[in-house]
Amino acid sequence: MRKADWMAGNYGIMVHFVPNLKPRYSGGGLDFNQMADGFDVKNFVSEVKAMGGKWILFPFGQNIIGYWSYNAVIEKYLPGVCSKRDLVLEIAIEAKRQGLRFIAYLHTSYDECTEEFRNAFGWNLSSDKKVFMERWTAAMRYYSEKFGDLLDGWWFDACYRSKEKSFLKTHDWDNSRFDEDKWFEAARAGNQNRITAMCDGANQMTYVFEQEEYLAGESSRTLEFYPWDYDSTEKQWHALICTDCFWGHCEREGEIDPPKFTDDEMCEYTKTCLEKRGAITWNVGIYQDSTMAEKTVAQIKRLKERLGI
Amino acid sequence: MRKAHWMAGNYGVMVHYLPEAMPCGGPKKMTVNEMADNFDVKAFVKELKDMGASWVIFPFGQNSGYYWSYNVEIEKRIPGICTRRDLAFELAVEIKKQGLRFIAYFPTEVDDNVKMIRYAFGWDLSPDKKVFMERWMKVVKYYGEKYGDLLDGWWFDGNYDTKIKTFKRTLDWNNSRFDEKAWFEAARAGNPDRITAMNDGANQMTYVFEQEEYIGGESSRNLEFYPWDYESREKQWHALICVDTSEWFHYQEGKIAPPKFSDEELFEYTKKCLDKKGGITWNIGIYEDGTMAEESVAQIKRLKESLGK
Repeated sequence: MRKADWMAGNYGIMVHFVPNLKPRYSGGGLDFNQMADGFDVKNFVSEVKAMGGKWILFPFGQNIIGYWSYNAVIEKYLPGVCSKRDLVLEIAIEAKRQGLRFIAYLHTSYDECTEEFRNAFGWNLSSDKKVFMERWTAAMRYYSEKFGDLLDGWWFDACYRSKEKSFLKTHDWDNSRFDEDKWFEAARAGNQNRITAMCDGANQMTYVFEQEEYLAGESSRTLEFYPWDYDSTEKQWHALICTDCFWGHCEREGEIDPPKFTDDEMCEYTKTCLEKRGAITWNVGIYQDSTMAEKTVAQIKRLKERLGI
Repeated sequence: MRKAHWMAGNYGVMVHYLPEAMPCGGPKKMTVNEMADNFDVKAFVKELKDMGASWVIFPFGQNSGYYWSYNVEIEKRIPGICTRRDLAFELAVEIKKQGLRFIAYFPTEVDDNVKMIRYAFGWDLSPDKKVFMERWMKVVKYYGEKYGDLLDGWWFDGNYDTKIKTFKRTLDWNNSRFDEKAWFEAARAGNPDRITAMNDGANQMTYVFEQEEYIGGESSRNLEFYPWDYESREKQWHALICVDTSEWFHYQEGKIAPPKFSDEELFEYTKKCLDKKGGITWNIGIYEDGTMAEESVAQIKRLKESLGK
């Protein structure tokens, strides 16, 4: 049985709960720690469950300002960047209580971070990123061990060949910076059943390392990709698709964009993917106050009903 | 069935892990955040299990000016006095994972606490402690809701009548400051099965409120008290006894004092109490680095063997 078998034929929910989210109402902005303090964990997890989500994909942090869970290694280099409330730990516990799996999002590069962050972790020191990778692997291992079986999976971002990605700040690094064995050992620390995906960019539907258990499958806003034949491969097919705003509600104040797909489009696509034992994670827009986009939530609840989940 | 039935015929372990705790040798080495960072949660819980403990009593804080678990109701009044690592929360997760119960020690007064905390929580405003109790109940409720079923019980300290307890800093307050209904509602927030004891001083073996599910049972160094007949009572008999350090916690330089009782004394007393369905918590000295007094640990392991647990 594949380690990622629990994903097959199911879908989960991701939210880009990041510190630079825009408020729903003008002038209603919260700072980083206020966002953590105001997050209604029980309600959030219950809502994911009500949508039929079998897992939650939630960020520890995403290149911006800070991390939602204490990490002694990160704090050693960047004191004060972890939120006071250990929000992710609370979510992971509640997810387990309600019978859901928990996958954490974490970036693997500091290219897009501020100079302060880049310098602290040694990102700028060399193109082989040796110092950075040692420090960042230790940071990731810390979370792995701390969460143990509360953390079912990793979704690692920015595993890029930087020459191909024009949006990056620097273009002299690639995935040769990873010591594959060390990286995966750290990723599995505390839970040998934990699964890992390494995202090398949108709409690739490929993997970076043999040891990955499932496909990152970042699919932007398309419903184009379909699962392959499982009899011939070990990796779990997976697509990560944003349903409303472009990943995070970070561009402007106000209501999150409405769903991009019709109910029929979404239902047909999901049904086809799940029947072929694929897995989908729907990215749903989320506000600073931890409520998700109502129209999207309603749509996914209708999807659940139509699928008879 | 009594809510505290899981204590009957079993014993647990308490540690007074406080910021003042000293190392095994030499002067104090760590700040409070370093102590939290260096605490080996897995090793500590494994040791408890190896000792045959069915539960652990661990302090959120004890009038030392700091707390081992984030609480927004504390932090909003005095930022920075909850440790960066949410140590007690991580402990509670590991304790549950290993099949033990978790009881939190928490004072219900701040009479001897640092001035900043007395001021922030309004302790000195009036003898009826109205303002303080309103604020402190919110603290208790926050922990209760956050921990949910990870917190099996409270051991509340400082429920004194200061006419009798003349060692306190001020002597004009008593337990009439409690709104019993509101207090127990806060104590049970997030887990209606949670049990509570309100300690009104050493060697009393009594209770303060009808709603308590077990008795605090602070017994200093005595092996004098024995369980009553359970057929006729609802409250769980419980004794809390320190086995090594004379002052509950290790605040002086050097090694923790050896066990105070012989194996024979300890084994015989325990067997009698457990046979009568009592519960005992053994308080064991703990060093700054989170390791417990070796001789006491070894003695409790021998106790476990002698009981065939």
